[in-house]
Amino acid sequence: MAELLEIDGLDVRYRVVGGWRALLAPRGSRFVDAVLDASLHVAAGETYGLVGESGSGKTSLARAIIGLVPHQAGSIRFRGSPTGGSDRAMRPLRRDIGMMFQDPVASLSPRLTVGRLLAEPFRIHAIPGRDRAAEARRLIAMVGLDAGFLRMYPHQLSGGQARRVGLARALALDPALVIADEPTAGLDVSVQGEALNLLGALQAEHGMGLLIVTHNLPVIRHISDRLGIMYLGRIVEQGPTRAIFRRPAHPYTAGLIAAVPQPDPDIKRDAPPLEGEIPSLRQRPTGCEFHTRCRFATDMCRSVAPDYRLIAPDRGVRCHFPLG
Amino acid sequence: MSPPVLAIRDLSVAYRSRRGRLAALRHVDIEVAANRIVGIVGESGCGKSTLIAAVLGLLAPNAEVMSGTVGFEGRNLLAATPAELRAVRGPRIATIFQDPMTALNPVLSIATQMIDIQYRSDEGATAKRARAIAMLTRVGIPDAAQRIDDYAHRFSGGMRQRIVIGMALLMRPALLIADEPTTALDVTLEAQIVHLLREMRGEIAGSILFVSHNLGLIAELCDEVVVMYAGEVVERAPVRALFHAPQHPYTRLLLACDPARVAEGTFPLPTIPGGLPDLAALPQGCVFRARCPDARAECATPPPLRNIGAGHVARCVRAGDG
Repeated sequence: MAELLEIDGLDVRYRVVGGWRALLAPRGSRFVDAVLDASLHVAAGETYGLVGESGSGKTSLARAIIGLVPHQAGSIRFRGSPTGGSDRAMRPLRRDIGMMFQDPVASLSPRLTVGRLLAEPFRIHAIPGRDRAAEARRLIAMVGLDAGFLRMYPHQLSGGQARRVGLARALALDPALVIADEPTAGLDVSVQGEALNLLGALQAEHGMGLLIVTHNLPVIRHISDRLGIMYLGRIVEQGPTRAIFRRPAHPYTAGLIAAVPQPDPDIKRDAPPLEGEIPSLRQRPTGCEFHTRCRFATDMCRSVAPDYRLIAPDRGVRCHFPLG
Repeated sequence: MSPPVLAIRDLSVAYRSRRGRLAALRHVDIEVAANRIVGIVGESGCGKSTLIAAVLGLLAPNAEVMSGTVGFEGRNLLAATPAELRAVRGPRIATIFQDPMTALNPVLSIATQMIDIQYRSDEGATAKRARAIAMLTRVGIPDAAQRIDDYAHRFSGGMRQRIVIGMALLMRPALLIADEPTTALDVTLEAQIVHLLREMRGEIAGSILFVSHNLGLIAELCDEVVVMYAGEVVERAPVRALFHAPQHPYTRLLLACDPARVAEGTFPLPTIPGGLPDLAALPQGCVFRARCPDARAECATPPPLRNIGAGHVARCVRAGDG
């Protein structure tokens, strides 16, 4: 499979102290690194799941791909050519990458009808020669809503319906890659399957690559081909979904999988699988950044940062002593 | 058996709206026995929030109690005066909500808030403060003696929920209502909070009404489960019976949809097609009929709550048929 998206050594940094205070603050505390040295690739037709808890950097990484936040180091290549530069330079790229945002209602303008929201991508990218009203009808039918929704405003939609409109917008211009940020957040169990089934069916039909950003492990297990697990802005484990769930190599991945409550009353856990909380991005632990919560941490882990290394041709981990 | 701590009987609540009366709760019966954890599971619009509001006397102005009683410590809370309710809420029934930040006052220190809620106690301020510090230590706040003087924004989301749990249990309530207490938390913190609730339960000797849409948490924490759909209790059972032998079709479908139970690599994922009925114009008969794969002619008359035995009931004509 040809690689659609290749990210190599990506850093995303945010300024946290600005203005005159920046002059007084020590150099190291003016910025936080939201993403550090992240590398991943997504092929056409493939579904990649980017998993992590709040503050792990997964949304920053996704937003950096379409240039919504700048990156400070590393490269992002889409279909073989590097991305970046001005908004104008990014425009053709954004036409080929559809984005579904985390909050489905907030990502739709409250002052536009669904019909106008769906026609907007064609207007922004000045796509000539197509009947935009007809396109809006095609898109709304594609996501399984009837044409009556075209006259509604976003506040009249339920969470699931707003999610479908967001998906229709993301797919408007037949993108080669769709980035979906938490596509199931806020949906009930009985309808979250609907949103994912739709995404999967459209992927089978159009062959696009899918990058799904989520903290929902039970769901991503069913719909992704490969996974990347993020902790404090770094990808700590990467590989085929099945292999990772069968035998996680990083202790954090193992803890994350064990933390998912099992719908079986006969299973009672004695202790929470992971103690403590994610450290502050402003005070990264020394050595391996996971050592503060790792049951297996040694002196080496506390002082020497592990490199990301391959443990199988398609599997990598950032740990001195991966689980076997 | 000792009388239940909380006994909700035949509770019906409707909201007045421009479209007429919305029958949000209809003939709900729920009992919470001493020392038990009862889970309420249901999706958006099932009436969970209205139920909690009715128990706490916090119903919206346009809500109307159509029938029923909420029995707690020998009296009907629905007939209690505002002053009587204030004496119950907090010391006798404590509540933890989804978002801990909205439960904590941002402009008062944790110490001030934890001393304030002990206003019914005769102890002095020093003793109250010591009790608050002991409770914070108990719920896992490191350096509680120093950190008690911090404000809520200085704590992480998980720590805030620990503080709220500590505050709720400080007065040793007979009943703790936990309304989606981990929904705003990451999965590793969720596991820690559920573990904490299980530990605290042994110490306070109280009952918990645990409201959640997460079947995994219900299975892990609860002794009994109540399944609600569109304002009705459709099934009620001990936790093992509910997960191993569910009787109502809605319960079965809900369990089947849980991605944590679906076999690996299943596609498409199971869903429950259709939507909730209109609460302003309820269909005749079973509320789940329109979405039920086994619906038949007899479902057009309201199904009785059938007793399957050992505390297991289901509102379906076919319940118990195997």
